Formats: sequence, C-alpha cells, structure tokens
Amino acid sequence: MPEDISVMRAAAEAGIAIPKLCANDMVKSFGSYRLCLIEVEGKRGTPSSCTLPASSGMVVHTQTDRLKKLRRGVMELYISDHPLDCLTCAANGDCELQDMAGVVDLRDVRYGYDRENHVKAEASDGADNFRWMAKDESNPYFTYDPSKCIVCSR
Amino acid sequence: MVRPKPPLPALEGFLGRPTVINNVMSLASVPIILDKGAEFYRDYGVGKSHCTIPIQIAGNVRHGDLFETAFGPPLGEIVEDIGGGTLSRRPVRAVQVGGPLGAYFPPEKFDTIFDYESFTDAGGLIGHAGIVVFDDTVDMLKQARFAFEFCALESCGKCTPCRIGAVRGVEVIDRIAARKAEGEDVDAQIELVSDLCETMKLGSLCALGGFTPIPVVSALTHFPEDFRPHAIAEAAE
Repeated sequence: MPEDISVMRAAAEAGIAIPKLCANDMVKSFGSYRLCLIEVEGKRGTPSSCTLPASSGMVVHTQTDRLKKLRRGVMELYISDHPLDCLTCAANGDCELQDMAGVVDLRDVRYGYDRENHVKAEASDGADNFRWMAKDESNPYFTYDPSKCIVCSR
Repeated sequence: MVRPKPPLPALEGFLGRPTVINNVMSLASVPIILDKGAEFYRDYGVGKSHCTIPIQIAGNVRHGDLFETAFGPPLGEIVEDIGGGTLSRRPVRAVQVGGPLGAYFPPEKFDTIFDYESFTDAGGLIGHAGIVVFDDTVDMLKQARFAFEFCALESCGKCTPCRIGAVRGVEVIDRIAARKAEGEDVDAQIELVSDLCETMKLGSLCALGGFTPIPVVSALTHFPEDFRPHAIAEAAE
C-alpha cells in the first residue's frame, strides 16, 4: 500500500465510495463536514475517513447502521440551515449536497425552519435576520449566495 | 483551529513541529515524584488513578473552595463532608462533576468513587475536577439548555455537529419547555434531542461538541421528570 494516503482515497481506489462533501482531490483534507465518518475495527469512535491515514491490516467499515444514522443526523443539521428551493436552484441536478442528502436517505428535517438560520431575510417575528446576507452578483460569471454556503472551507 | 488527529501533536503540533502537550496537573505532579519517588506518588489514590486531585467545589455549597485529596472518596463524601452540603440548607438534588461538559449526578449516585475509571463507567468524567452543587430548586431542563448554550458560544464553527447542533439543541430544549408548560406531549422532541446528542457525541471533531451531550444525557437520564409535563411525569413513575 502506498504511504500517506487517506482511508477515503484507499477506499476509492478499491472502488468503494464513502459519502463525502468537503473532501476534494484539489485541496488538503480538512475534516469539517463529518459525512465521511467510518468505523475501524479495534478503535473507538468514528473518525473522518478523509483525514485518517490508511495503514496495512486496517479493517474499516464504511456502511453500518450506526454510520447510516450518524450521517443522516449530520445531514439533517445541515439542511436545517439551507434553503429548500432545490427545484428553482441553479445547481439543481448538479449539486453535491443534494446528491449526498439522497445518499444518506434524508427524508425529514425535524428541527423546523422557524428559528436561527442564514436562509431567511426576516426572522419569524418579522424583524431583520442579522445572520442573513444578500446574494453577491457583482461578478458576471459567478453568483455567491451566502445562504447556500455549507462552510466546507474548500 | 481544531484539526483531526492523527497526526498526534507529539509528531506534528505547533507550527508543524513535534509538540509536548501536558495539562498543569500533570506538570505539577513532577516535582513530588522527583522529590519523594514514584512509589510515594503511586501509593496515593485508588486503582489506576494515582496521587491526589485538586477539587474545586462551587455552586450552592457551604464550604466552596479548592481542596486537594487523594483519589478514592465517594462523591457524596466530597459534597457532604468536605463541601458541607448546600449553602441554602435545602437538600442536594444534583451535582455536576468535571466542568461545564461534565455529567450531573443525583444523590442516588453519591457512592460513585472519585476516580477516573469509576466516573467513566458512570457515564461521567473527572475532567478538571470542578464540582458544582445544586439544591432541590434546580431545573434540570434549564441545565441541559445551558450545556448547548455553552457549546454554541464556545464552538469554533469548523464541524457541523457542534456548530449547528449546539444551536438546534437550545431550540429543541426551548420547544420542550414550551410544550411542557402547555401540558403537551414531548416524546418526539425528547427523541430528537437524544438523536442530536448521538450525532454530536460521535460526529464532532473535538471534545467540545463530543462532550456536550454528557450533561444533557445525564440530566435526561437521572431527572426525566424535569423534561415532561407534570401529569405525564407522574403517570410515567
């Protein structure tokens, strides 16, 4: 096995896709999104596979009931602070967040959308939501919509 | 900013260099070991918890102060004998051990031995050995809220379970409080807060988000009546 590769990369080379969002081949792994969590036999906890170095003899589980529930729980938190305008969103059909919400089988966001968020310009009592920021469309090639940012630090 | 380990700081730490990280307690143990020898140090304490621990007793307590004792007394002895019970003279209802992210213990758990292993087994932690005493007027739902609030305030924001989870935790607790006040069913919200605790415990990058569920789950486990409307709490007993 080559030196210095992550469990995520080793799995990918073996044809196993671990759900991921912040990891990208073009940047150093960061470990913020917590979707690529895995279990390693003989080790406690659920480390992120993008930051965990692979080693010989390591036995890794990428799909267990605990991991499924955990990934869905993390995704539920993410979507609880994300606009639900997929059908009219420019990224519809070409969106990693949408894909991963499908992969982890997220059906329901139980937290509701009436409290703290970066999505709505107005709070539920009609006051200005100080967390909300308008779209930046000053660049002819890019639109930056802060309400859709998932803080992956990519 | 928090980063995943490995690499461990001993290999790659501050400025990418090997870095020794010890807490003050470990460093403070060194002179006595050098002066009186390893056996002297080892023979204080119980089990694998050696030597002494400086305990900070605070909250609603008669003799709040800093005490150093060997590991090994039961929790109740620390609260009642050293701390002298509550300042209000009302009965003790809960004691939080280990800091803001430590577990709450009811008096029924006062026989828990004050050492690392026993506290881990009891779902708690020794942490920095801070003990906060509460009398029977404490609202454990509010204490659970405080844990999420503390986490939201302290969160560096890097990982999702901690950054968003702590905020949602406060909101779910508030929803439980509102439903409780109206005498409405809170089962779905309690399930949600339990699921959230699991996500934060296993999904967070560091111990801040990972330990926030400890006070919340201990409050839910030992003081379930504070989370439910009175009629439902009585029926469940």
